[in-house]
Amino acid sequence: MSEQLRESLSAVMDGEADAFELRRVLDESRSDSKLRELWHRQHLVRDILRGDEIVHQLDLRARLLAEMEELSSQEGDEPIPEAQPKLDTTTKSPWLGRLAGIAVAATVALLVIVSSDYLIGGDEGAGFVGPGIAQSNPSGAPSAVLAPVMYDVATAADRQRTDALIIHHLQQNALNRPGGFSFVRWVGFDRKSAQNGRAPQAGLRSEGGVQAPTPSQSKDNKR
Amino acid sequence: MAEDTDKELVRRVQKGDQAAFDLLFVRYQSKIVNLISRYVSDQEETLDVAQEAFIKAYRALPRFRGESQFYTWLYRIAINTAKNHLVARSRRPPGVDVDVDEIEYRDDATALRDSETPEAALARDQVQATIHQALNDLPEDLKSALTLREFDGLSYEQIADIMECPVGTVRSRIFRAREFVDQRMQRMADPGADEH
Repeated sequence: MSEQLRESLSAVMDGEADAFELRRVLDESRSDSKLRELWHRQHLVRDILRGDEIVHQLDLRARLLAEMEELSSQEGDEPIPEAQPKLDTTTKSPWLGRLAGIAVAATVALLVIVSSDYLIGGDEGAGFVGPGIAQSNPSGAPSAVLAPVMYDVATAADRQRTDALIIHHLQQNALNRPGGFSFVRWVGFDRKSAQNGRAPQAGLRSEGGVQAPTPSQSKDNKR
Repeated sequence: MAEDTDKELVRRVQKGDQAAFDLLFVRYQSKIVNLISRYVSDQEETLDVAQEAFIKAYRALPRFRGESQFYTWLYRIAINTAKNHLVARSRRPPGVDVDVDEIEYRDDATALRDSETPEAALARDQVQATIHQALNDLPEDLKSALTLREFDGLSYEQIADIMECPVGTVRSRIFRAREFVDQRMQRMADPGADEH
């Protein structure tokens, strides 16, 4: 990260950068996690100097980033794959730790699932994968999106497709696991509720102790 | 202007840039958490409500038309989320809304600090001490530029008038002051780490 870029970031923080600098800093921040961390630290200093520092200790950012990642994976209207650099979701959340473990297993299972075209026949799978993938598939051929691809030669569209299928696998895993009410399952419930015309459930959480909507909360939502 | 930074960040989020939302979040998280803590006293609940408010904002941003300033819009979402939270918990929200225009100038971290663990309080004190020590160790011209900016909220042009120097010099001094403080913080976090 050049000194010039760091100085531009400082000016952007203060709203004193020109349009070119602003665009440059924001362009760089998409792919440069160190630049984003510098932005974070500089705001920490600002908040401390202004007496507002407390929130930086509370891990809210990690929680939010984890939830945003989930939302992006879940929602078909989430946009433009190349505009989605991998954000750092360094977090203490035990839920994410479990997700990482499950994801490895899911990736292995995925190779089998993809090659057997298992998902093509299912409405839910096609519906889930469809909207996001259709936009990002350069060939525009729906069937081609399920062709196996080596990860290290994958395009952005291939990676997004893989991510979507992993999430689908996790969702199925969560739905079929007795007793567990995972975040993924809840989000699925939330989306179905929204499709059925009910208000989406509030209070999403990204950590392991995800709360199922209680009857009283449901009542509140209907008010 | 700071609003231009927000506008550009919002525009990018609307085009699907998640990193831009992260920058917006970092910019406003303290204000939002402090605002919510006026309605919700429990720290964990405050964080839940803040998280919910940011997620609502993230989802609603595609429909944000920029008719009001972003932070005004965000504060409204936070206030409504906090009120809905209280209603859902059968607690009455405060009768009088917090004035959005006053939020910048009020410190409401006290309630959150009251529920800090001793370890968190120690870490906070250490970071605070490092930053204030770094500020004291700055050369006078850098210190003046940074404090006029951060404590008094002055623009570069106003600071240039006060310090009787070009705006470019002010910008450079503020940058160098921030670099100095940042290096001290990084050294505190990792005493073996190299500086920039």
